[in-house]
Order: sequence, then structure tokens, then C-alpha cells
Amino acid sequence: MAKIMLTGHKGIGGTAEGEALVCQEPINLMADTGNVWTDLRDTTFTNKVGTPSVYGERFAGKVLVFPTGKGGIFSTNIMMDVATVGCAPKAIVNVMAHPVWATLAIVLNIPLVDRLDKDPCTVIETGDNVKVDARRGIVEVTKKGS
Amino acid sequence: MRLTKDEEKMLSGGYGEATRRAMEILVTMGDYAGAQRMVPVSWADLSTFSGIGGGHGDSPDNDLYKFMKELDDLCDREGVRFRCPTTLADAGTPESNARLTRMGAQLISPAGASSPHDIFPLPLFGQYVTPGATNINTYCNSMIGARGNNEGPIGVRMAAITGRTPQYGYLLNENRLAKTHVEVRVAPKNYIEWAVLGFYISKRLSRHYWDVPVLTGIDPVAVTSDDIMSLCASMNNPGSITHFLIEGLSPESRTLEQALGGRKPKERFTVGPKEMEEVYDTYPPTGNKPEIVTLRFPLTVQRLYEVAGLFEGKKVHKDVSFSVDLTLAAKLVAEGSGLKKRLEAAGVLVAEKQGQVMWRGQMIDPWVDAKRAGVRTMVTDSLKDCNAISQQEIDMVLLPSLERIVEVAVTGKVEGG
Repeated sequence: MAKIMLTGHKGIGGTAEGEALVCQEPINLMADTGNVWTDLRDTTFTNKVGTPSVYGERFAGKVLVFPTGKGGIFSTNIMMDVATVGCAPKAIVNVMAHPVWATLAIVLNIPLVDRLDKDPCTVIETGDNVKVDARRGIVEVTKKGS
Repeated sequence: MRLTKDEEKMLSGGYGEATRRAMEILVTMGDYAGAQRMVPVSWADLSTFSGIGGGHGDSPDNDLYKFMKELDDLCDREGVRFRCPTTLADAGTPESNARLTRMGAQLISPAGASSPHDIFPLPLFGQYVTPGATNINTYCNSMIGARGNNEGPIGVRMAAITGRTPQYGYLLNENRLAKTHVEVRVAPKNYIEWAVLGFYISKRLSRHYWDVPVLTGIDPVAVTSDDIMSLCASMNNPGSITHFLIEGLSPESRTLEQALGGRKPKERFTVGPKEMEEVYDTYPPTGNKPEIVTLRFPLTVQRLYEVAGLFEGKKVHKDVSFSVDLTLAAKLVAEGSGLKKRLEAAGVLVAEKQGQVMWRGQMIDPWVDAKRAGVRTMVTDSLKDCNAISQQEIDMVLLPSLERIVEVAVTGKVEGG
């Protein structure tokens, strides 16, 4: 089974494993997930302009891979709410984490890693199985179909 | 991280459980970010811009509110007072405002504080700060040379409780140098055009906003602080530029060479009329009739007079809801001079708190409620509005001047519609 390792530095939180959802654009939950306002469990990306690479996909329970956060501070409020109904991502893998997302990961205990030796948005594809070990700063990727 | 004895005491619970929890979060953040030490915070701002609080974190239904309330209750029980100068705008519930002022926060604006216009006093060069609103953080970094990372409400609250923040990111000299050179080949004519310029740069650098841009080609004589505040508001939306430099204006960028630290830029690009047009084309008139028309970037005193002048002898169209946000100074002038009454007589809703618009007889926060409330078309001066609300499948139209926006409010028609 083909495995790819990405290594970096100590991240936030512990370990998690799950299916990857890879977004090529930075994420701002305020602007990119419009359905959460009416249903907290509906974490569908709804912004065709802001995050076209994941339009129509839901992030709940996924290992969410994206370059970084964007926009203001309001991703904090939305993710806190989404987490209470069990719909947060299992783990977060960034090129470079935005401080807003890093503090969220601390408070919500979501494993987060960034500054890896390879670009996770290039190496990982949606549907790949991803193991995140934030304590050691390691991401293990099993390609889908392998 | 190397902690001082006092910081160690905070982390070990010597000042109580609330302070221990706050310091633990900051140390975790610092360890992850590679910070070597904590630095003292000169100003923390607890104001998160929220309008009426439907879901921006200050509603009792919101989990962030519950998280903060639990911590604040603990602070109350342990008699914690904020360990650095701390401000608050009236953006929360009366209960949360009262609790935070008991802990030592000073209420600085009864109308909210969504831009640097309403921050008194602003910090000074070199100080470590944790502003509440993103665009205020950007202004502090870029135009004052104060130093802040944009951590959002959690990081700010922990900084207020401990008086410390981990030194990483834009709190370090090397990260404040420019890496990207942006040649500006337009001369923005008003605050909306400055926002358009910022929006283009922000989007272009959104995948690597930490590659700080330095802007050249801006005439330091012609620009105003209001222009720059508008630029800051769009620099972090749609991307996330928390720190940028302008040659000849930013204290850390007297020259291009100083901004770049004597190095060559990693990237260089130009913003001219074509690039500005690209932004306007993202939010064009769609043919639908305008329902909500709004000036959401808070009116300064100067723009308040401009709007009042444009409404001389005119009224808002019967099918249009037209509202304006005011800075605190403009609010005082509007009330004291009679301008507020004149505008209201013309059908203009002067929002009591920033972020609200009137829709079918009710105040709503369009960032949260536009879709739920059945809004279909909104005309605005705010690219932040366009970016945040358009994903609710609402037609957002950006117009390039106060004159055009007031014209739409009066005629009930938007060109192309």
C-alpha cells in the first residue's frame, strides 16, 4: 500500500485519522460555509468564488487540508458552534496555519499540523486516508484506491 | 519557551485557575508557533464587531459566548482583573459588557468599533497589542508600527487576562519585512477605490499572506487616514493580510529598501485600472431591483456631510431600505447638528449600532441573517459585505462612489438593473 510521509514540527493536539478533504483555497468559514447559519450540521462549502475547489463538499468529520485561513476572526465563532454538534473536522493540515485557526485547534483539541516538508495541498487529494500525529508533526497519507 | 518567574506562577496556578487556563492556552500557542518568550501587552481590545449578535460570538446561544462566559465567571469568582489596558466596544450583551467592565475593561464606544476610527487611544510604535477587529490589527501593524498577530477573540481574551502574548509572527522583526513588491499604478479617488485596491492585493496573496507586501506608487501627500483605514478593511478580506507596508507612509517603510530589508522581493506585481476593474466585475449589477442599499464602512464626519448634501431635496425610494453606519464622532455630530433628523426625514436609517440594516421593519445583521430574512439583492460600499454575504446566494452589487449609491437609493434602480 503506497504511503507518503510529510514531516514538520510539533503541532497542536494529538492524533487523528480520517478521509481527506483538500481545499486549494484559503478558508473563511464566515464567507465560505453559508448553510451553517440555518443548520449547524450542514458544513457544506457554498462559495463558488471563494472556495471553488470544495464547492458542495462538507468538512464535518474530515481531515481538512487547506493552505491557510483567511478573512477576519469570525471563523472562530462558527467553528466553536459547529464543534458543539460534533461536526468539526477530525484534524487540520495547513501549509501555514492562521493564528485564528491555531487558537481554535487549541481550545477545541483538534490536531493541527503545518509547515511540513511538502505542500500538503499538492501531495494529498480528497479521498486519501490521512493519519495526523501532531505531537510528532507527522502526516501519513495512504492514496485512495491503493 | 522561556517564561519569567511571574509567567511560571501564572502557569502553575499561583494566580488562580482562570489565569492558569489563559496562560496554558498562550504557552501552547507559543510552543506550536516557535515563540521563544512571552512579551508584555500594551493594549488588548475585546471588541468583536457583531451588530445585533445573532451569531458572531456575543449571543448567549453561541458556544464561543459560553466558553468566554465560563472563563469570565471563573475570573469573577477569583477576582481577576485584566493585566493590561483593555478596551471594549458595546458589541456584546449588556450582561457580558457589565462583566468585562467589572474586570477592568473600558467601554470606548456605545456603537461598536469596527474600524480604527473609533479606537481611543490608538497604540504606539513598537508596542505589542492584541486588537479585537482584524482591520484594526492591520492598521496598527502597517501604519503605526505596533505589533499584533490576528488571533481572534480567544487569543485577545487570554492576553487581557495574563497581560502577555507569545512573541511569534508579526511580533518579530524579521517577519515584518516586505517580501512582495506591489507597484500601484492607479490613484484611488475615494475610500471605496482604496478598498478595491486592497481587495485585489489580498486575493492575489491569499495563499501566502505572510509574504508581506510593500506598496509603491502611492502619493503620501494626497492620501488620508480614512483612505488607509478602508484599505486595511479589505486587505484582510478576501485574503488575510494582517501586515503590509506603504513606501513613504509606514514607519517601517520610509524607503522601498528599508521595507525589504535590503533584499530582493520574492514576487512583484502591478495593480492598474484593469486589475481594479476585475474586482468591480466580481460584484456587478445583476438586473434585480435593489432591496437593501447601505453604506457599511462607517461614515466619518466628512462623509456624513457629503451624504447629507447628496440627499438635499431627495428621499429614499419607497421600495428601498437605505441605512448608514456611523463612526462614533459622526454619530455625535449627526445628533448634535440635526443632520440625523434631516437624514431620517429623507428616509435614511441611521444605525444605532454598526453592522445593522433595516429589512421589512426589523433590524438584521446581513452577514448572518440576509438569506434567512429573504433578501435577494443588496447594494453596498463594502467589499467585506460582498465577500461575506454573496455566498448566501444573494446578489451583491459594489458601486464605486457615494454618489452612485445614493442615486440608487433614491431612484430604486441600479444601472444595468
